[in-house]
Amino acid sequence: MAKQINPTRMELTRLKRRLKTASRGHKLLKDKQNGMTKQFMEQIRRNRELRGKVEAGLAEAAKQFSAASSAMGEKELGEALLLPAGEIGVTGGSKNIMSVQVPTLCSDGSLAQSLPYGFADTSYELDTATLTMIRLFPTLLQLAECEKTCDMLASEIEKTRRRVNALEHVMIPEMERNIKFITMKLEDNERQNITRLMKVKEVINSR
Amino acid sequence: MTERKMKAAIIGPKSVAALYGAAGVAVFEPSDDISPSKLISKLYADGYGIIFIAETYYRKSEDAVKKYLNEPYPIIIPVPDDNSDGTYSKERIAANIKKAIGSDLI
Repeated sequence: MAKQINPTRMELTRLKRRLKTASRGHKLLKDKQNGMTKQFMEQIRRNRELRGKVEAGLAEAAKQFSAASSAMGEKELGEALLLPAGEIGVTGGSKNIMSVQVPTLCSDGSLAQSLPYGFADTSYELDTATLTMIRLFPTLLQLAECEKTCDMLASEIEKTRRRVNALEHVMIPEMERNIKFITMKLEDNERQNITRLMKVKEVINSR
Repeated sequence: MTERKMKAAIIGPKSVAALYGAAGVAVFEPSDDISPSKLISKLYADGYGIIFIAETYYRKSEDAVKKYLNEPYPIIIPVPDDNSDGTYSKERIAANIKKAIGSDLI
């Protein structure tokens, strides 16, 4: 508030310096927000595309799995899939998008390649379902990476937007108001001084 | 962050999770003793960086998901289960767009 500040030259210099920093920060944050929004829109398009692919693939695999379940029986199916298929070969890292560290996943080519059960007591439908799932897995990894990136970018854009708005609509206008108040106060003091000096000169001259 | 080998897990009912097991994903099912939220924290502590979770359980554990929102790992992704009608993923995408842009443009 303009009324609570000290109308001194020192305060004016300090406020001008702060205003300069705030304006520069505002510009940088606005650029960051625009950059992130651009990246976000690209990622969200990819997300929708991958989601569609994955959900279609999963529905297909579930249908085949259900056919396998009716052909083999619940118990036999459970027994066939009891043993794990081995570890997946995925390497995780991170990359920087506008100072947001987002995950990157990369398959090293050693994802499950073969069926994790014997062929004696299993049906053809189960083989098809498992192979569909194995083939779908790289897309599932891409979706995981993309969806997390979207979540993180959305959260960061929201934070940045709040900062930009706070600077644009609260901090910068308040600083400008305060600077105007101090400038006017200092000019007023200056005028008072001149008037006083003129009065003193007049008194001295009249003696 | 340096690159490291990732483990993947799925939290879901056996009917959904068994398929993922065939692709090399470790299968976990919440029980009365351990809720989906606790299971997420436990799996992350055990080194699982990619956690797929059935939509029904995902809705119940959004507090745990929020906890890891600003960190690249673990990646917690909802996958459709028996109760899914295909709208939840669309709702999530729309919510993200609204959060980032202010309105659902797409």
